[in-house]
Amino acid sequence: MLAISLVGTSWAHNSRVGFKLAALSLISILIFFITNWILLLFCLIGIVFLYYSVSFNALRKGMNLLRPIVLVIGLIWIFHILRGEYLSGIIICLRLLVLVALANFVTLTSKLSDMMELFLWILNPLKLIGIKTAPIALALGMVIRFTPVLIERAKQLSQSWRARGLRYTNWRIIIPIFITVIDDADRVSEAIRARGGV
Amino acid sequence: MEKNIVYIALFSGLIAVLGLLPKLTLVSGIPITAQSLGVMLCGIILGAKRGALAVLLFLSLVALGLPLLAGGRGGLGVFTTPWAGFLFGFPFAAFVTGYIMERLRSLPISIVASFSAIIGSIFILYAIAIPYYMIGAKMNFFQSILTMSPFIPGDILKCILAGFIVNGIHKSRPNAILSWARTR
Repeated sequence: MLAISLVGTSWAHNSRVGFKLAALSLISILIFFITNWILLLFCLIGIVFLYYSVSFNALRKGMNLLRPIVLVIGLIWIFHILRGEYLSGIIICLRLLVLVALANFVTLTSKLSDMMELFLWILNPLKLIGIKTAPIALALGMVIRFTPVLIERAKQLSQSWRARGLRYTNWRIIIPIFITVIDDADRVSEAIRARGGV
Repeated sequence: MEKNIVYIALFSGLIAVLGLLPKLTLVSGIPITAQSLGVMLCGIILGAKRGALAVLLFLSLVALGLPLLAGGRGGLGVFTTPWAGFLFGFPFAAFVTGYIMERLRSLPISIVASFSAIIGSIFILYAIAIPYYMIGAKMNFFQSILTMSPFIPGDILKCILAGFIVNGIHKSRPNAILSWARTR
């Protein structure tokens, strides 16, 4: 399964994930104190350069990731115009764009494995209250491994559905998808137990 | 223990599968994504705790950078939009759905499933998503409802479908409905 992140060796790829996430959280809080739209616009322009400093490809992919939310942001802006609050509408929309673009930037330049390592490190304090993190790591790995398998299975099932005459699959296809996955789950848990368990 | 972990993991994969499936065309021809149906089914089938954990696992992987949300979206950016209240509400929705499911065992399964989905995955979910949207987008209550209203008929339909689906699963794999399993 392909992650969203880009492969690369830029400065952003080489800096530590923990550092990037800490910076992201800090900026996300600070951005709420900026109430000047010109300043926010400069932030947005700065982010364009930030993406471009990684590569042109990163800039393009960043734009693509923003596309679905542009519509939502437009809607929010229209509502604010209808209320006659032009300026606060612009500020909110710009702030949203900056936040989403920055968060996407961290995702684009961080490897999935590094993110997982950091995630499990963040979960470490759970050990103090008696929750083991090894099963969480196992579950994360299983989802990454099994999701493509399950997607393939769903495709096969809808193909055989269509082969039996119905052109469009409808919601009923979900039942066999779940049943095959439940059978898989039973077998996998037996297999894990047979190999010594968790 | 092993069974619980594997069920949680595979069901969180199923949420992804339902989001990535080609859009289901329903009776009326409205194409809707089935992702929130996946959240409902996690709660209904796995029960409160496991259902919520499956959803949390799914959201963690989205945050870590897998494009598992409907439309191939993912990454940290999806959690910073004003719509993210739905994502943060998903675990609670699954928990409440599963909790009601666990408490009502004497009625027919399809009715209980639809009922708990309506309470957990519509009322609880919107009770979290609407205030979040109001704050994030600086909208008032009425405007937020207006923006979200196109999704509500689809959500009600999904709750009803969830009842039929769980009924089908219950018929062929009664032991897999962990929320109703005898040994707890």
